[in-house]
Amino acid sequence: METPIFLIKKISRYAFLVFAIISVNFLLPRLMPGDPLVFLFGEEVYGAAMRDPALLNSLTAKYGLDLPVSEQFFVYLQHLARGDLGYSFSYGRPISEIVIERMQLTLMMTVPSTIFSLVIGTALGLSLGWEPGKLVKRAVSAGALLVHSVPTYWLGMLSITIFSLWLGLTPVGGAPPGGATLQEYLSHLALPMSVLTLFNSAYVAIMVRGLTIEVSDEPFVIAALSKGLKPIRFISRHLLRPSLPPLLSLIAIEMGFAFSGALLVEIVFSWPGMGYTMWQAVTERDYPLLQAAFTMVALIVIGANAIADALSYIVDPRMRQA
Amino acid sequence: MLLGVVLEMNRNTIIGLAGVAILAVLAVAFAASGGFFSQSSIPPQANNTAVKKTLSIGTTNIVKTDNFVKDYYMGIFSACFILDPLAAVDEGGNIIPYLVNWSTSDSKIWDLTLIRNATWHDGKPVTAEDVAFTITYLKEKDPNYATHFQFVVSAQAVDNKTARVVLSKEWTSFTIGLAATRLIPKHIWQNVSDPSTYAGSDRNIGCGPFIYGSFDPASGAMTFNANKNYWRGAPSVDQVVLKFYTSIDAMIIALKKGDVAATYAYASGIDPVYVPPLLGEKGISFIIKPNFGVDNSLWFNCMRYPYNITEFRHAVSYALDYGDYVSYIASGYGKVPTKGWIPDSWGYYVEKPMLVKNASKVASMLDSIGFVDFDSDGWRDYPNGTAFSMGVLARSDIALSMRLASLVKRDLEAIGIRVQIIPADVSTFQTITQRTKDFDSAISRTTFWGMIMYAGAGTLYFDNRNMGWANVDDPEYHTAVDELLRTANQTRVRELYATLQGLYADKMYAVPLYWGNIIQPYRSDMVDGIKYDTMYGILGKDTWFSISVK
Repeated sequence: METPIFLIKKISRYAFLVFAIISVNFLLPRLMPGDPLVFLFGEEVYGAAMRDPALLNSLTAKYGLDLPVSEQFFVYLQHLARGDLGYSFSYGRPISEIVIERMQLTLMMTVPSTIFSLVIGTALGLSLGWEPGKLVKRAVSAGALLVHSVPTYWLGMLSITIFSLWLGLTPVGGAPPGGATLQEYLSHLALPMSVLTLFNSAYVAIMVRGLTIEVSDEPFVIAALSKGLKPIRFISRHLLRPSLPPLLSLIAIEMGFAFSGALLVEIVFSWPGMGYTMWQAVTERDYPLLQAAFTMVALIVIGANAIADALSYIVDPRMRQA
Repeated sequence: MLLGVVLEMNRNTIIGLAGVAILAVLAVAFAASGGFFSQSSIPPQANNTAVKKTLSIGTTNIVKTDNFVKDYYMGIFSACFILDPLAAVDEGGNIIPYLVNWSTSDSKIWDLTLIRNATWHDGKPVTAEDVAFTITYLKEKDPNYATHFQFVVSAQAVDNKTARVVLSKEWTSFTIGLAATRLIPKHIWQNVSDPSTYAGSDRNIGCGPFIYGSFDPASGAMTFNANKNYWRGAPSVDQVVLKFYTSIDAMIIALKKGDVAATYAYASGIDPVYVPPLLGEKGISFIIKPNFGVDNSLWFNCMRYPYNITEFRHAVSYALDYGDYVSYIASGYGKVPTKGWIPDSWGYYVEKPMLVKNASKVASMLDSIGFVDFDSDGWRDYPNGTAFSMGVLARSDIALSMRLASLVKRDLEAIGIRVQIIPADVSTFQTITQRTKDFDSAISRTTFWGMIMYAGAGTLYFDNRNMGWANVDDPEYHTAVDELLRTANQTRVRELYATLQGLYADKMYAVPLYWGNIIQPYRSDMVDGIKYDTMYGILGKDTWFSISVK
């Protein structure tokens, strides 16, 4: 009987969140210091243009920057309702085209990496969390912490130096060219995906290790052990399942990162995905591109969280009683 | 099953798992690369029947869209490869004819005469109609040209070779606009109302030495193919491939590996900090040329107290350790500047005394204008006793700029001036320095192009009526600039530049921190005969007729 109320509450909360995110994503870029006209005029012409009202007015009107912010917001909402993400200042192209192009590149790298890191990290974390006092497990845990503490940029440079410069196995950077063969795809993907997988696996392992340690002290775990259950049944029903709700939230967050790209990895591997595109948009104060990209990523994270919530509701009886 | 195995892991299995993971990464990389016969190890010509001379150049100047009106760096590369300018710039910074020569009797009416037998890439001839159209069209449609051609009233073809441009006032700097102008074909652009969004397949047709090939933003590569019908003859290379790197570190590795034969960065070269590690690399050489811009200066906001006091600005100049800037920022590839801001790389250079650090002079100068430590806290205060702090705006997106700001802070704090470094990315920096003017001082470089714009000699960066980082509102300075803008007499121009150099030294609107070099590394075992161009560095037009790919 409580379920519909729970769902209504959840849905209204998400609806409010979506509107709040759309509004914040519209306002945030405009609150940043700096001026998109710097790039529209060029650095060396900007100052002179500022002293030429006719020139200034013509350009601000062309990009709708002359309208009051409230009116810009209203126009933005209208366009968004029609599914129109707008036109990029810096690319001179429809944003939907740019997002599709760049999102493909990002997902090509982040989806396999996210899946691998979740599988490897969960397996490793469960192992490290069970009887964590063993010397080798403590050493591996410290190793995972070390890997996660190292900046991905540095990991990337190290891997390029070893695998590309010294061993000549992979290209220095760049995504696969259009019409690339499978071999070329894999060749370009190998390093960025491995670095991202290594980094994220370490994070997931650390998180799952903590959850496992927490659960393993529970009386039902000791009781389950004393019954002499088979390892697979013990892990899946008594060790992993209680850890699933926070693990699902973690997966939801990881999925969000997957769509927003991995900025430092994209920069070091010259991979023009969503992370790099958003960074460029921030630099150039490309308001329409920024608000569209942020909104899309936020919606994906919310969607993933909603799914995680729903799954938690199914797997965790405590949530149904709440 | 996996879960079952996981729990049973002992020390050996964990070590084994780690080993397998490392081997898996290696195997994927190896297999994906096709073993030792990787894509990148196959010479490009192996796939072609005719040997094609291809030159690969790495750059961090990323092109986002291949529309030269919309994209700043596409504009630069278009000028290097596919479009020709109306005028060029020689080594001394003088504007010289390229596609057109010019004549004027009053600096108001200018006749531009085509002097080359140029044709567009689609085979049509370049005419005076194209010249007149380019000037009027770009003035109207491209904000970058709005200031170059701000005084243009009309531009019309007089005959097939000559276009007449009428200005609203005498304007000797009109020729600078000609050097900035990349000629575009009237028959393509006349029906395009918004060039910044034009995506027609003919958008990159020019009359330059290369024909536009392709752009793949994903792999970060742009190609240009030799124009065999170029009016100077066919370029010495068949194809140029620009490879875009978002990280300078990765680009340097690509150079070491031989993926690119040279690196390029417009108007700056590479950060000198990358030079020492490359010195020991076999096959890597450097083109080192004096920078026609000033690598970095400390710009005072001359309309804000106390930076509007000449003595204060001089005092600051005596606090700085210029030798350190040359050593630590320019890695030794530079020199200590003189008080005259115009660098000695310029034809109009007038020598002035060298800048020196003199702590006792700083103290006496600051004391004399009342900036003393009233409350004995170790920091100098305003003459009214309130705490004084100097803001130094620095570009957070340029590592070198932040390192330099730290050294300036160190030097000023050593003489009791409290300093706050204010990091700002490019948009914020330009908005503050050019629009809001809400800053004390700023650190930034100037480009060659910025040096010659407006009245030349860096006036663009000083004059508060233009870009004016230094916000100079000095009538004496304005008078010299105004006369330069309408004077064609070269003797008088030289006198006026000497006047400006004198004002720079006496008034110290900005302190040049070091005069550096433009450094372009390249692989001398892959390429030879690279020429250096004042405006476009190693990608200047002359390179394409002297270069040889090994």
